[in-house]
Amino acid sequence: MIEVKGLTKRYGNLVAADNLNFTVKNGEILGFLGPNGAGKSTTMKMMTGFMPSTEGTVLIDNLDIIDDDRKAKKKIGYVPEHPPVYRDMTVTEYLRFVCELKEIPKKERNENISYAIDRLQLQDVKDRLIRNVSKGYRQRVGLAQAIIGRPEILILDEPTVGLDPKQIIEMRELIRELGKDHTIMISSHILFEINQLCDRVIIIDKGKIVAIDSPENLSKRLSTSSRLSLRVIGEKEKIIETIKEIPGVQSVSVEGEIEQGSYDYNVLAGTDYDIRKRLFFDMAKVGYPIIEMKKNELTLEEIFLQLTGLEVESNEKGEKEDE
Amino acid sequence: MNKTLTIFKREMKSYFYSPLAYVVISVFLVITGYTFITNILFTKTTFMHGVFENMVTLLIFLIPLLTMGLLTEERKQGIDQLLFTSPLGVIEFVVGKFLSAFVVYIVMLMFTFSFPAVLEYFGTPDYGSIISAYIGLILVGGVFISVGLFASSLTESQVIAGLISFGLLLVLWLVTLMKSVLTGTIVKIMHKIDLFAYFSDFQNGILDSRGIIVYISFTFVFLFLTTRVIDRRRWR
Repeated sequence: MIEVKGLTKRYGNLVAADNLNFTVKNGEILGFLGPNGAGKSTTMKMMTGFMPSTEGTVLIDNLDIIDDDRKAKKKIGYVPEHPPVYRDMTVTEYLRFVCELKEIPKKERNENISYAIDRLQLQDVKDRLIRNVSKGYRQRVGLAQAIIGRPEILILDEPTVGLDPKQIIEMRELIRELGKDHTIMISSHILFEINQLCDRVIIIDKGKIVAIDSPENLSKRLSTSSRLSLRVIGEKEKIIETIKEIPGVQSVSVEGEIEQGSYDYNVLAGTDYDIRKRLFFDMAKVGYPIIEMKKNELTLEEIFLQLTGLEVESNEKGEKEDE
Repeated sequence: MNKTLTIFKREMKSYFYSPLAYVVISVFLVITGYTFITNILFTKTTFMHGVFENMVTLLIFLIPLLTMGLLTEERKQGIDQLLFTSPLGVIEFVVGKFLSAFVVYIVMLMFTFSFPAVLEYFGTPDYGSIISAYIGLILVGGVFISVGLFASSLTESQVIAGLISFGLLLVLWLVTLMKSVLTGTIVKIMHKIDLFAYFSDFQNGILDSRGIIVYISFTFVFLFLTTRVIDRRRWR
């Protein structure tokens, strides 16, 4: 559906996007994850034809976004980071303007406008000036604009930025809903969001792709050890000693005393071992009751840090091993 | 080309939904009205020379107000990201913007048709020179608006865009004044591009093709430059 080949953008010496290669498949919701300044917006601007690339191409259904721009652009609905709305127009007026801009035939305009208004639940504000509606509605008007003309592809640049928690949840609902009949690419720096919404994730940092995979696979691929949080009543030293005797345990650390008389521990163990059963019986043997035990999967947050922040370290290790 | 109309319609709405068009037109009419009245009272003739000349000078100040926001606001609010990810060409866009300011300007001029009407009531005005003066005004307005549009494409700030177009127009105006001071080949060129000297021809009733060509070329050059600036910014 969308093919990105060798996409590069340079501003003088600064490389905003560096040889990006990926595809967006039909019907999927693809997450585009990276810290601020990683090149997410730049990449999206190139994919939508707003900005040409320094090198590389973007194909939308085999149409080049630069050479066949008029045809290719019709296939994309794009929501930039700040909703591109005229504040001095009413919602309906604005959507009518967008219809004309996107070359929707006269007969289909009213139908398109009411479809967008219905889909994004804008009935209450459709005759109000955009300057007077709340940020959440404005963001929705931005999305409504994108689905005018029913493009197959939606490209959304940080659609939940600046919304309050309730609006964020509503926005995610909407995106999931739209995902049923659109191919969606969504950028974000919030891992939780991507994790919830997306079928696949692309992680980029400093203009380079760090990983492409499903959220689940990413967690699996990266967790070389599993982690347990424990709360046990009893003597600290003795408990640590006992835990360390269990095969597979890599390290034990004390988090502190949260409930009186008990301590919280963090236990790291190899993924091949499930130490929970053994832990339970061993603790019972020495007479220290476990009052809480929780298995912690690696969060996307940690994956992200491992892939981006700690990448340098792993490279260095790799080099040493080579020697 | 129908998207030129789309851009044009939107821009017209924003001119007349905001106080801008009304304020500019009012200021223009008050000042030209004042010069018209004093002119007649002093000369007691049906000539409108002073009035038209005054209008052109006034336009140096007022046209930048009309044009300064034309291209800055969309860029500042990121609406250009909608426009240029839609099937919209830069030329359609720039022409639409130009036409909207131009039509506001024509509306403004139309109000001054009341001046010849007053003259008609009290005497017999020379319609030939009045009509050619209006043709000149329309052409000069086109030049000024394209200069203003060009200035507006250069920056995201309305104020700076206004100042740049005001500055450019002042430079064009100074050409007229500097002509008498300087010598050599520069003066020859200056004579050729002196917008204001051509305007005196128009207001004397001379429809000089050179003047018409110079005005239209100026307009096209600045519109062309505007499209280049917009394109270049994206290609950078």
